[in-house]
Amino acid sequence: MHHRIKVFFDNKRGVRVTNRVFSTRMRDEDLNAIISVKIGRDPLYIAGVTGLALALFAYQFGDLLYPDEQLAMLFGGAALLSSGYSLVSLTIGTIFNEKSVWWNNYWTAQKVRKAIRDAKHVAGMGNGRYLPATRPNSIAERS
Amino acid sequence: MWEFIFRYVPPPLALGLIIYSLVTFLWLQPLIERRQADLIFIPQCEAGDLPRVAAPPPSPARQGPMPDGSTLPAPPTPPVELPLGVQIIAELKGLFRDDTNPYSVPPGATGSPCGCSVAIAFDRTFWRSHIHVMSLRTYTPRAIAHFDERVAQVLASGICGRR
Repeated sequence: MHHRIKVFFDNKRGVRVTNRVFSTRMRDEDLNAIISVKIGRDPLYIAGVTGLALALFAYQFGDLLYPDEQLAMLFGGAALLSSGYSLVSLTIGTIFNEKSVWWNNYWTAQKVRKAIRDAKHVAGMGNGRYLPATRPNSIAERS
Repeated sequence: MWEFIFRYVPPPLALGLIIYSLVTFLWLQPLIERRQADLIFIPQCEAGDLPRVAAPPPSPARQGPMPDGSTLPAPPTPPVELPLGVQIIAELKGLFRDDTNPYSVPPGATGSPCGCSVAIAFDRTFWRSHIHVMSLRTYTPRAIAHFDERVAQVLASGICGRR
């Protein structure tokens, strides 16, 4: 039986989501094994604390800092906050296991997450290998 | 214990707090300390408008004979070589109070009575000063709010010489 490969995401740098696999540059993940996809926001926490504290420091101790120092600290805090907001990890959960497989900016990671979701909807209609493609299977759809 | 903490504080949040505390401890507090010394306390001391504090009582050894002619015995001298644990702790303390820190009160300033007094006063409020900066001026104990009294006390004690 011939299976067509349907591509849901491809950024021309080796990151690809098809109806079978999610591939990054060095790793392929079978979509069947993926049971959850999470956007990991650890950098937001770390940069949120440090960036906010740096900006608040520049504000609170403004009387003891030179203006250029104060401005540099404010901009440094803002840069930390924005980079912490935009840098995320794509965290994939398999059974009893959760791992960050890919780091990228927030918007691209959301696109990949949506692509995996779409791919799994299509795969749920029968991924070809384990279930007949003709009949929508309730077990596969539930996952 | 860690499970209890990380149930309520996400680990990346705790990591951010640790990074911030470390940066404050190593660079931001020494910067603030030096600026306060340069801009506020050394000029205030040089101008002579420190608050008036009582001079500390003279040490018993210098008090002279008692009314009945007897003298108080001198306090026992410490042993020449300190125990190893005390030495290690003193070394570790010295690491954090090292004068090679470029932000600490400049060594030239410690030559003057005022610079020396300010430096010693900052040494005596080490942790309070650090927590004050770490908390972004929200925690201000008395020793920090009235730091000029501390400078005046050190100056009055005479260990930095008379101004």
